[in-house]
Amino acid sequence: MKLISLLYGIYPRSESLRKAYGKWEKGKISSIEISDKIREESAIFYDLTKEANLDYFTDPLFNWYDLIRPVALSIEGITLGPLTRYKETNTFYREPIIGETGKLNKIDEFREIDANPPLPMFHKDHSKSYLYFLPGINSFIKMSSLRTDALNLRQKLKDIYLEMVGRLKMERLLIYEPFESENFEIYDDLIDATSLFLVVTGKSGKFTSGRKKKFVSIISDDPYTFNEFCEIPGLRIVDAQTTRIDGDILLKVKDLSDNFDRLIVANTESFDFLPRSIADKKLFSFKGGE
Amino acid sequence: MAELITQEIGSFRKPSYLASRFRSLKSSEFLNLAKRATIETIELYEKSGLMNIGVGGEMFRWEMYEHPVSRINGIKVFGPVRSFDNRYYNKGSVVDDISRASSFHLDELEVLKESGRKNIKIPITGPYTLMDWSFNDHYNKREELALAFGKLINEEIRELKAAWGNETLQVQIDEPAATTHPDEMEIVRESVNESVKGIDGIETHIHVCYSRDYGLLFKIIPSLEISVYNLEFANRDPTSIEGEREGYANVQRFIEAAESSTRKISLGLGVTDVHIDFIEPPQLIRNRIEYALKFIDPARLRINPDCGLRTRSREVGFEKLKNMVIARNEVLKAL
Repeated sequence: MKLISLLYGIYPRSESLRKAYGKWEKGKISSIEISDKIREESAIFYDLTKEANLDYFTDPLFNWYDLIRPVALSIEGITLGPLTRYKETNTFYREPIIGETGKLNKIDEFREIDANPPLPMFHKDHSKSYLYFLPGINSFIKMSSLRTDALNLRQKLKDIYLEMVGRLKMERLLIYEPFESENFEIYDDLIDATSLFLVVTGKSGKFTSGRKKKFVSIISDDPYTFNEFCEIPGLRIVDAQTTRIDGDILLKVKDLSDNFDRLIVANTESFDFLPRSIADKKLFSFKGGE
Repeated sequence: MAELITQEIGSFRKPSYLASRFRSLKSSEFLNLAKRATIETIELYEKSGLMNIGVGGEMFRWEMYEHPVSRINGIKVFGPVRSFDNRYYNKGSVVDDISRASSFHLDELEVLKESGRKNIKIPITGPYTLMDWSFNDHYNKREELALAFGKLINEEIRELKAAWGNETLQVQIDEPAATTHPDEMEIVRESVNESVKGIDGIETHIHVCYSRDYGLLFKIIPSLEISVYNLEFANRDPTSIEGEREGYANVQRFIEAAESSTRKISLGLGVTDVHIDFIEPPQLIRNRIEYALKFIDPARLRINPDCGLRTRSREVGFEKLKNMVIARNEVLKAL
């Protein structure tokens, strides 16, 4: 069985970037300066992923103050609500308050926005390993306070995501659903528009078949369930909730080798839950034991 | 008994002479500056009219998790992890059996004793939160680690009480993580109770904030050895003066739960949001207090900010406290 490594989500910031953000928040450096710093730090991260031989990685999202904020702040009609706990963690995000949504603002060039470092939303690496990242539409809605019809909103968000894919010419996109979700038909058009990777949480059942195209991968805790809906099954296995470095990933996935020719091994959550020094070490553990 | 006691929750923004050098100061210099900052903060509280001064804004502590953890054997810190935006804390990894290396808060208590103030309340980070916010790379089960933290906190409170003397000492167990894992409320109950087990002469408080479901906490109230619940409400309430106080819907549920306990239980009502610079006008705070008083006796209601005010400037923090006191006085007058 061939293992394919994939890292997704927000990557922890370096001390240097944290300090720079501190200065930027106090007005001691400009938005242009912090933007340059974000680009620099992203380049350092991409060098690291290459050194670790990662097959796929998403943008490190160094200028995302939480998993959904830059997306929320790029859509007219969405404002930020109170600080809200993210799942069962000690991490918080600002809850989007969604009214009637309007157009998608500029996301691909320098732009100052409230309550978040400046855009662009992504600082792309030009290798084929690079994946754009977006939060799952179902989770985005679950994490928000709605002042509008949810069904209608889901369709609108799908259209906005399609517009993002088009504007940025996304060749590969990873969508992360951090909350248990049911409605995956919402991604049918996106599968046609780009090579789509999906990370799901929990049972996330109720998949239906019959699509012409499949997800490139569905990364879950149970690759058997989702195998028929994707080209390569994926497993969330590199633990983002412990500082222990896993040296035996290969041993842990050995049982799956009878059933799959290829398997994507990915992290369980954003590495942002780890200290940077540990995250940097874990990058080298995705195929531990190989 | 005094009605509508005003109190703070714990932290307050440090003066820059302390904050900018907090980690680099030598111990004797640190002690002097932390003492100075504590007294200045108490004076600021007193100027605002605050009745209970806590520990003077936690000037000895950089952060509620890191402070105790750095005084515990068996925990390694590999670096900071994010809490929100660009705010970080040093998350420890439990790599061995834990034990107290030194007292967490004795130095702070000594300063308060020296100052002659009696109206204090000591916040202590709770066992469940310490467990939940640590990487557990050693204990087999989460409950084992939480109970181990509970035992350490019990030792700490005993030491503080012995130093304080015969008068009642108010102790606030800070458990912001208490309701984050709905199926672990039994661990919360056991570990918090372990923290105060067998200690006489203390008034036990608990502080919980930003819960997605306070109902989980309310369910265990009858079996928790806690007398005062200092909770956050303002963050979820509109800032308009008019209208229903929708952020305070949990007050009624709290009272229903408290009444099922044999213990006499009080509520500390969060009336100012610590995450915004907006200074709540006295009328807004008054409306919030009066809403709560529809359900609770004034003798069992205390008034406080949602959480520690460290996220705001000292000026904003002071204005928020001042308006809180004004509102409290107006409510009391009208009662």
